[in-house]
Amino acid sequence: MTTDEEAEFTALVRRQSSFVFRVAYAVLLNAHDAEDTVQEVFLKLYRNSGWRDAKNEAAFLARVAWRVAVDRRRSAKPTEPIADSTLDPPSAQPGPEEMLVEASQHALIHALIDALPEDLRLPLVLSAADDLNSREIGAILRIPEGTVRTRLHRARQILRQRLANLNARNQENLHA
Amino acid sequence: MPERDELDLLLDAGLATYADPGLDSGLEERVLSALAAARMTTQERSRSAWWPKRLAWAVAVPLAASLLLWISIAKISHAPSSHIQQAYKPETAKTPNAIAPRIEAGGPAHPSEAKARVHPATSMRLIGSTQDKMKSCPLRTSEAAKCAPLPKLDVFPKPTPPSMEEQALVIVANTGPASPREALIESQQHADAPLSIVALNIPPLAVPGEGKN
Repeated sequence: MTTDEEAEFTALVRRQSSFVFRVAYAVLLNAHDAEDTVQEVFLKLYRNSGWRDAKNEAAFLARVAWRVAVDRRRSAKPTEPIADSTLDPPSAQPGPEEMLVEASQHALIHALIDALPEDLRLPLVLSAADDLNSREIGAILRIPEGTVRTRLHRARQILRQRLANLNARNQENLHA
Repeated sequence: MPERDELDLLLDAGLATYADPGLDSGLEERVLSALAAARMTTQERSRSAWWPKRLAWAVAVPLAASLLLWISIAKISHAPSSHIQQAYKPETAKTPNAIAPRIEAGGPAHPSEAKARVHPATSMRLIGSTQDKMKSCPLRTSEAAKCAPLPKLDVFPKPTPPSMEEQALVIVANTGPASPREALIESQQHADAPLSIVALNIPPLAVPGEGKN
């Protein structure tokens, strides 16, 4: 690899590491395994230099990350997902109470997403992470575009329903 | 509907931060350092793999060369040499014709021919048996070693007495006058000498009646 290519690859790592991590996490539900997957993905890309020919960078990386994560899950023992507080983003500048409420709400939604079946969770994460459209998600996961749309709709429906139920339960608890 | 919109916004916000390592998580740096470490390991591996490869070549090349040399030497030692063949063939070809005059001359040139001089009949028989062997066995020494021996007779053959012609020949050779033998030997010795022709002295012819006119 030349110096220019090295610099280009370093830029790619800086640009897409988070996205690859999210895809890997959506499959593995474990921050440590997801980070190992990110390293493995970029190491593979560095060795075979296939990243230069990719037309859609995000779709290409998502495809590679998904395959590597699935392979890692197959070879690894099944483990319980670990709630990692470091995955939560640092909030903008809200007050302590708002921050607590917001963090708790995000954590709740993250837990709900984790609880989704994988065939619904992955299209949802891909659609949210890098604004990939249904066609691109279908190409990554090798499923028809219509199936992607159906799964996205179902995933959002389930999340809304569960979130509404939780809110209603919280309201009842407050009144009681 | 407002509740739904609020839920949607909440979901979108939650999805946007789902599995996001954050800007200050240091994920990129860890990935880059892991890549650098892997690169270093690969370089070290290739560097360390260089010596065993060279050592293997250093052993393999002389080994192969010595093997080739050994094979070529073995081939040469098994192959029939041309000078042996040349020395062997004329001997077989010449033997009956070459020895016979020497027998007659009585001068053996080779120890093996001395036997022939003692008893011409036996020598002829020996020559005949040698020729039979030559015919039955190939000239190559390696193959000659493998050649089957001549069949053995049940009873060892008695020496047959020489025939009348052979006896006469022996008598002539031993008791005959020395002058013809010596003349024959001398003629054979000078056979290759250059011929000398004595100059002819022819007197001019005298025509009768010349000078009378």
